[in-house]
Amino acid sequence: MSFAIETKGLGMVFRTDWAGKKRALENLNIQVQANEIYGFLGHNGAGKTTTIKILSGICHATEGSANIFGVPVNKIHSRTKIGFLPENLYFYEYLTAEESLEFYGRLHGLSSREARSRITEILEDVGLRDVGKNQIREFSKGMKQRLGVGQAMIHDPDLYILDEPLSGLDPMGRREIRDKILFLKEKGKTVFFSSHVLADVEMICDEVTLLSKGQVVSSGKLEDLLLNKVTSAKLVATSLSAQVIETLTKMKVSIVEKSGETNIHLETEEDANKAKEIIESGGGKLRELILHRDNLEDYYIRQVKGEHHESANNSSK
Amino acid sequence: MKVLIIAQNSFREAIRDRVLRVILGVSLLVIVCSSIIGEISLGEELKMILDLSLGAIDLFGVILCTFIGAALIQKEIEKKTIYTLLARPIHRWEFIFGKYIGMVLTLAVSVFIMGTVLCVFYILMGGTFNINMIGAVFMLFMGLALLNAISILFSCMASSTVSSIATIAVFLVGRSTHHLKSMAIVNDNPIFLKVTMFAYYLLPNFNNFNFKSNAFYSLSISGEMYLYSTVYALVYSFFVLLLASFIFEKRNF
Repeated sequence: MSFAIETKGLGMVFRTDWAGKKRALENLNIQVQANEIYGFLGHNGAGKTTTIKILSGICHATEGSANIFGVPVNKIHSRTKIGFLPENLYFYEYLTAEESLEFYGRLHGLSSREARSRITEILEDVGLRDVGKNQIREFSKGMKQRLGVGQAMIHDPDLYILDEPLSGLDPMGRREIRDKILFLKEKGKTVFFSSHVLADVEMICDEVTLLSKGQVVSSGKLEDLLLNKVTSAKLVATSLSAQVIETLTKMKVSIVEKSGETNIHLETEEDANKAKEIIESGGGKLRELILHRDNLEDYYIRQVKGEHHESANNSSK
Repeated sequence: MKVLIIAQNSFREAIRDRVLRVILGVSLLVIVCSSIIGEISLGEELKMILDLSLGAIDLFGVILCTFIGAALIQKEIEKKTIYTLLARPIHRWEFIFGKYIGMVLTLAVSVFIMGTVLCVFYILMGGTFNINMIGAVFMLFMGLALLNAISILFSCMASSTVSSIATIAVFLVGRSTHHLKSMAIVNDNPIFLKVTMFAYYLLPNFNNFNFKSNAFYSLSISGEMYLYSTVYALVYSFFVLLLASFIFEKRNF
């Protein structure tokens, strides 16, 4: 069975001027299963957009290979199954929304009649039915983004490649796009998208790849990466005797008195349970026990920091 | 056919562009105003009107190629509309040829409007219609179609400003290629002769499309002349567009 996306040793080196070269991507190996939501994460300049441009035929990779449903990306046939939404999408401003969608639909081989019937459906779907005959230059940013999603859907592709679909949108707009991505998955589609809005990614992705400086830092299913492990805990208690505080101080904790309450910060779940017992047996009142688990942002920062340390150590050797 | 879909879209976009309307409006104004200048030249008013009007069609056609044609590809790159196009199942050469045909259609409509206004105005001013006027306008159009291919080639390689300057430069050189031949004849140096003759045959010869004097003096343009100039424009444009497609194919965006 072929993967929706498969890359092997994918790399890209750009020429910056006559003699200079800049590496944007190195040895990328990913496999995206069909009907999966795949997050491609990284800071600005990490290599996300370069990868997406290679997959959609806008850039030619200098190393390795990439296939879309088994078809190499340098064959135009590979793009028949892709719906692509670039970052900061621009349209032909003098065309109307309907003309624009018809144009893209016909490039995918739809007849004028087929395209027109799809247009009605899509404009309804993305909430632009009433402005279909308006020129795009009259549209707001949010409307353009919705039309952008519409143009990616025009030929009902099996794979959606979305570059930063959530950036620059207000909370309502982000939610709309998130819901649309989940809806596409329900319809059996595959969604591959890049983002640096990690909270959104965590909510909807099945699998992620973290990228930094053109290299993969980490990759896998979200539940495998985050492990549901407690990374810190906080207890809030009142009426603690001096003896209880003394016992707690002997543990690996930090204690802060605030507004008549004692805030106790611990590192592990075991320590939190132990502290709870001490407080309760010593006559104190436990108000709150908060276990903090690793989220994607924590995980990402830790991974990228770890990579920085490693590269700093290597360079100092 | 995807080339024609891109051409249709390109034409639709260009025809709604305000720049085109402004250029076309000014050119029509110049044609109409040519009667004022015509009055200065005693007894030659009609010839003056024809001369100035054909000159206006030529000049504004070149301006169209320079400002709209030369920016055609770069505008797609700078405005990033190219991303949504290249991510479709189209060959890059289809994009180049489609943009070219779209722009040629725009030129055809513009030249047709200017030519019609010229003929109507000329007749209203008391002139007698002669078929060579249409022939001269058609030839100017073929020259502009070739210039448009050259502007697209530059647009694939450089920024809009550089492409515009390069397009004007090629046009001016292309109008003076006969000087290259003359220079080669008067110079005895065989290397110089080879270089100048090579440049003469390589550079586009825009004099092949200049039949304005035929219109002034009601000299008929032979079928051979039409055929030669048309085939020259088509073949030259085809190879220029092939080169543009080759360059464009290698580019990353």
